[in-house]
Amino acid sequence: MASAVTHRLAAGGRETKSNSKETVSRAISAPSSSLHLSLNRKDEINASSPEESLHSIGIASGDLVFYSLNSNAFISEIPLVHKPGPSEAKHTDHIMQKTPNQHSSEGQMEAGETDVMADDIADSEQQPAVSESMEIVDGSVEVMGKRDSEPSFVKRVLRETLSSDRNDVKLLVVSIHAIILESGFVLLDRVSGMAVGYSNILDHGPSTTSTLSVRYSLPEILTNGSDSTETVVLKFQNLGHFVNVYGSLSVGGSGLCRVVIDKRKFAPALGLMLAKSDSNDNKISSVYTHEKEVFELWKMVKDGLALPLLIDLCEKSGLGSPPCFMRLPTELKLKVLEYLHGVDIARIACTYSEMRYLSSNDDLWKQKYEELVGQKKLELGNKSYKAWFAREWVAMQHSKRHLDRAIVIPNHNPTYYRIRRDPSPFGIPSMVGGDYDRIPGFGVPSPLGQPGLPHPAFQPRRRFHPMCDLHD
Amino acid sequence: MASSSKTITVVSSDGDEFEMTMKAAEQSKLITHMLDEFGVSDKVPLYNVNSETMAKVMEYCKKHADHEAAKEEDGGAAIGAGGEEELKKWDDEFLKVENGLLFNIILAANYLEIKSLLDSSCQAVADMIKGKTPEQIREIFNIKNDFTPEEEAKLRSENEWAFQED
Repeated sequence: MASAVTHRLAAGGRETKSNSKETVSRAISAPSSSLHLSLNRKDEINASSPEESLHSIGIASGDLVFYSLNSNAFISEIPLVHKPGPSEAKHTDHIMQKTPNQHSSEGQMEAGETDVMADDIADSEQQPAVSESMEIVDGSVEVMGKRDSEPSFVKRVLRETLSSDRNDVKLLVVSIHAIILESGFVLLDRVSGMAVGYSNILDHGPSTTSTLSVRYSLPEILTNGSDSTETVVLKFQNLGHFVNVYGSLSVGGSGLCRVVIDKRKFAPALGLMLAKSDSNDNKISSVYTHEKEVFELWKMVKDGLALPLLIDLCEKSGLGSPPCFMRLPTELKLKVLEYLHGVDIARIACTYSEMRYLSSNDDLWKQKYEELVGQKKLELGNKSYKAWFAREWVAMQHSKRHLDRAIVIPNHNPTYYRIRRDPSPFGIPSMVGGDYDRIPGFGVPSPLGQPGLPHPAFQPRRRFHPMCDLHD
Repeated sequence: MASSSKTITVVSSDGDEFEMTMKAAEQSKLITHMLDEFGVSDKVPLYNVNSETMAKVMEYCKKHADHEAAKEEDGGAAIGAGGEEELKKWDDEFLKVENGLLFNIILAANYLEIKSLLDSSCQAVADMIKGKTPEQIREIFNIKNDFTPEEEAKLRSENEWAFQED
């Protein structure tokens, strides 16, 4: 049975197949000539020359590479595409449209098979022939502090789909499509409604038209054999410098998701990434620039399209929902609230009913109030802590707004002393002298000013020496 | 296969196995307890954590274990004054992932009882909420608004003080 001992191997930027074989053989104390490497436990890495760089074969930093001493371990003949192992494997555990016998480790893929989705199943299966696995880590990317595994699937889809013509729109459309697939969706054929291989996305419409519409579903929905016609529809709209992507459910559309992709910003980065993976060059500086943009695009599509659509589709089809804020247990939601400022707690209370309830927890407000005023208040009367917080917060905002210069005396909570005669101390009213001098807050509408009561934020206007402690 | 007594194997819900050093495993209170109860020879099953999340958590545990080891070694000299800050920066970068994975990390850190990871990841989610309007928060987290318009208006006026912009 396959045991997985993961060796993390640091490799320099210019790893070749023979180098890596050496490294692996050193790690496991076996002769490198009997080593066979594979990315997906099904197919051996066939470099045309042993000196070919790993990058050109398609191995990126963070990839899991399997090795075996058994020469028959990787026997499939068609070079199939590898999907990054840990990502969303659960969604591809089910069969797409082929028969179950592909689960067997000796299963041969039919020659000329262009449906590469089926390959993803093999990925998540335990293959008895493989004895151990190994992870290759690229030293240069580690320095960045970020693992590069996310775009590798996108890179492969791009390479497979776009051989020659790589205009901006195509780059973006295919990349977004790849990210959607990575989240577990499968592309549906426009006519038959069956799942198809991912290369076919551009067959759904020539790239020069301004809109392109595609449908996706989830493997679980397809295998359930339910008559549910619920699918996700993505519409790509090419508009000047931007590509708009709208996502919604085809039947019970509860809402529309949209991302707007600036071609000028993201297409060059994608082109660069693709070009870099084509050539053997490994310029560090270009790696950094395009990585940032590619990650930004990836995260934008994931968070703005893939996840919301996944949540909607799962909900409508009766599947369990993917991880999202609402799915956190109550104690963890409360924990998140503890890290928020009182203002944000009040705002999140307005999002939905459970938040309203959680945000009304007065112990939470006690904590927030004490953080705000910097000390514990013992006597509060019968008002809730939330009300006290609100009052204090408003007072602080107001005094910030209306006092032009202030000195804060360190041993008090925020109290402001004006050092200049200001003809209109509160902004309103503009009367000077008389009662307005004597009674601070006179004429100022409550709750800020109560006539006769000194308010800590507003001091009577009179000349005083700041260091004089006759005050108070 | 390296099976010195210094490493243990954990199994994710997807059936994938991950190897970690004892020091890294000690970052998780749950794993430590399980090892105390059942010994180190068996594989530790973690049915609530999938492989993607497991890989990320492994990375975190390893980094923090290495950091602790370096601290102990030279009495702090290896880390230096900026060491804690550097670790914090690493944590921030580490948590820049898509939302689904971030929530899975929170759930995993809670289950595995890794306090520092739980704190950091909850802080990361809180940072996403800061300064946003309710509508924006709903959009970011795909929250369904289940208030009637009247309820919503009432709530808004009750909390109006929080909506005053400076």
